[in-house]
Amino acid sequence: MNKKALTMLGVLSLLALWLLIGCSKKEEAPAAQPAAAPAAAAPAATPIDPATVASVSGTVKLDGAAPKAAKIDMSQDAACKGTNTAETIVVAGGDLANVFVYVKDGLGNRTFDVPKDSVTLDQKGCQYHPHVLGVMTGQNIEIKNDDQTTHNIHPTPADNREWNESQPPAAAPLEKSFSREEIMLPVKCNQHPWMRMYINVVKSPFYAVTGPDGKYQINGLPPGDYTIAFVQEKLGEQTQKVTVAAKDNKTVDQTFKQQ
Amino acid sequence: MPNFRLTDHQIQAISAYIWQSAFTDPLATEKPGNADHGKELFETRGCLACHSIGEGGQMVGGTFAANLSREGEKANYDYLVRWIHNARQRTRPYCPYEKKDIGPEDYAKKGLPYQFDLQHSQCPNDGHELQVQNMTVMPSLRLSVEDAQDIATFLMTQKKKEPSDYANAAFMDDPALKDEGKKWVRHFGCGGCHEVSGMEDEGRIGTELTFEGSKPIERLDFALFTEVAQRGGKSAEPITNPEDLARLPDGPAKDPWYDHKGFFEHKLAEPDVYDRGKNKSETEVLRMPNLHLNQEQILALTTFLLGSEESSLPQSYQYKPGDARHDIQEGWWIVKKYNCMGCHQFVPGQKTILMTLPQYRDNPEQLPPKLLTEGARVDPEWLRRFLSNPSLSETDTNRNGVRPYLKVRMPTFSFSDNELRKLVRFFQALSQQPMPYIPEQVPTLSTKETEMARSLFSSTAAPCLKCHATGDPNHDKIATAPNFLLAKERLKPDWVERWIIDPQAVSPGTSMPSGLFRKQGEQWVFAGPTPPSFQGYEKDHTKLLVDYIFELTPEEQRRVAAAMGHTSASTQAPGRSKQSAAQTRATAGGGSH
Repeated sequence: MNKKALTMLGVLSLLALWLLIGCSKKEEAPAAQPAAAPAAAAPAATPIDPATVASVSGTVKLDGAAPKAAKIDMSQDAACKGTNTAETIVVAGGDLANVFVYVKDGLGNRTFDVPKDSVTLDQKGCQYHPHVLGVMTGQNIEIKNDDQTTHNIHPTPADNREWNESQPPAAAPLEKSFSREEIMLPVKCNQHPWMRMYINVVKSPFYAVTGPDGKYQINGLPPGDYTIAFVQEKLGEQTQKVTVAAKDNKTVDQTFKQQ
Repeated sequence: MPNFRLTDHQIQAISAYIWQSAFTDPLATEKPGNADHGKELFETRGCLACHSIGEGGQMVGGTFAANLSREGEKANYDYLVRWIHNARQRTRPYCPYEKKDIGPEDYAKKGLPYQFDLQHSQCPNDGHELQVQNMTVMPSLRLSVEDAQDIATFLMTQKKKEPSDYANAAFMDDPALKDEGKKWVRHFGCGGCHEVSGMEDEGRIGTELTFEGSKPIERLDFALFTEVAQRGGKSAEPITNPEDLARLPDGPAKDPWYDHKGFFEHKLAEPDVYDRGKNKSETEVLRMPNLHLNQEQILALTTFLLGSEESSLPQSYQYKPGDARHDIQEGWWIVKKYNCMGCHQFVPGQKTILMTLPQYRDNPEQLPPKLLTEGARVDPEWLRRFLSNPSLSETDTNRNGVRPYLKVRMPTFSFSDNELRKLVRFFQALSQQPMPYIPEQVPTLSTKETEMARSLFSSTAAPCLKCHATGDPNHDKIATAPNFLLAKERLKPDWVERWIIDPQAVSPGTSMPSGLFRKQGEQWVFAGPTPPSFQGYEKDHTKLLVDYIFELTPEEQRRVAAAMGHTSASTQAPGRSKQSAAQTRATAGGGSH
């Protein structure tokens, strides 16, 4: 046999093999379909015994004089009515708002279901609501525009894909998600340069954002040793190690120092 | 600057020669500037794309040009202001024919005024073309003299020692030492790299290396290490200095290294290694300096030398493209020569020096534009004009021509015509543009179409003029995108259409948002509300808007801006524009004195 014939034979046999696989797959397909359809790419969530879950809550304070919030001049757009102040550090009576609190370490290899509910980011009065948002990786974020002006939503991530989309008044909400963990991912509007907020993308559901009273609460935590991180956009990150027993209601307070 | 292993005496002699050969022409005395403003300019105008400042862990900026942390110890303030203002400005013009710098006395002899620039570049003595500019890659940032003074004042504060802290250097004025210094400057071949007046015709002092790889091994002088290099073994390595030892690509020699590779590697790691153990006079010792090369560089140079053989490689083995790839190859030399990549991104993922600076972390829109699709974006003839004068103006030069809102300045590099041509072809080739460029015919819009397009252009769902500059100084303070009136000459229509459909795909991270248009069947339609006139219109809305932008006149833009502006404030519009005109005049007046 010469070389050409040998190659030919090889090609033919490969072709035959491919046909064989192709056929058998086709036959299997209908049977496999019902089972495979609802399964998503994510692995199943690690079960948590609801009888043992604990909670962590507390108050975040700012030590030192509260900085005076800068006034924002919105006169460049007549549609941005009302007054607006910078939300870099929001503090009332020492209570620090807009601190992102999450379980940074201690969950090991646990995986969690991504909530089906969307979280909402609203643009109103040329300001983002909320100013700090927590979301799980892959979770849907619904972005609305309640203003009579066009905004554009421009996240500038370090570790996710960057995008920038226009949203005219009364337009349908944008549906977005982020696939990788990222803390304090800045979001801005190029048309209203004072507009700025932060999205925190985490893998677990154990996170919270402090309210105007500086309080936060994280529920449903399985017992264990954890590192809790408190992150403020300007003041940075602080951590605390805590041990949480079954059914514990642990109080973990944190104080940031004015820089 | 490599290390020539000079003795203290040689250093003093060379210093005296350089010092005493300096021009004595007085420089204009500069007024002291404002160091704080100078610091701000230094950090925002783009100096750090090439220069670094700070030492060790504190260092920020590029390594393309000198570190300026101790500039204040070195420089003369008047000279520094002059250099920052225009680095190409010579103290005296140079006549290549006479091989000397021409001074006022030469002009006076012929009764000519002492004036030299690109228009007055003939030697008064012999009519030959003078070199009237310094050949430096330091560009002109088109700064005002006041700004140059401020930056120089700031740089003069950058020092660790006062000049008075240095030891007495009276030897610098010793005429005998100057003559000796001249001898050493010639001996060490300084003229090989530096321009030294009177040494223009000095040959290169080093060995010719064209066919170095073909040299018989016997002609490579291993000197006292011949035997040990042949034998190998325990004491095979002659280099003992740990720093030089670390330069050897394969580490200290254990096996015999009596071959071309071994010779080149040792020579490059520690050039005077083959002088070791010999008694030589001051003029006989090896002159090749230690270039402080690293392992990778030595390996590359050794490979190059080994390949430099008499029987050269066949033509077919050499990469000599004749098509657009040739233009890319040629262009890279220029891009590298002027460090364009310190500011601009040419290929996806490439980090510029400026991107790494903290001042751009929170406002990346202040970074210089990415040039990922430059060839597809701009008209080549426009690009040539822009590169030769980035202010796009003969009179108003202290600004950026396209992006006046950027603090960082696109400098004037004084490219030669050849460099301009190569750069333009480079960008065209990089974006796979056909050569020559034949501009697309932009159709004239009907009155109805113009009206429709205007409704898109001024739509509240895509308020173009909110971000794009209009030439109204009040508005342009907050503008973040170029003026549409530049589009006609500057841009290629088909690129603009691609851009407005999905700017994020063209330049990820740009301030211009995507999602302004959506595809409806085969047609691109506006994503926001459109007036009834659009009913039944089957052409792409994107195309309509692009055609309109290319037809835009200053009057039309002003009308749309006024109408769009603030409906309630429309009655104030004339008053405001009067005020802004007055402001412009005031600024212009302020700049001239």
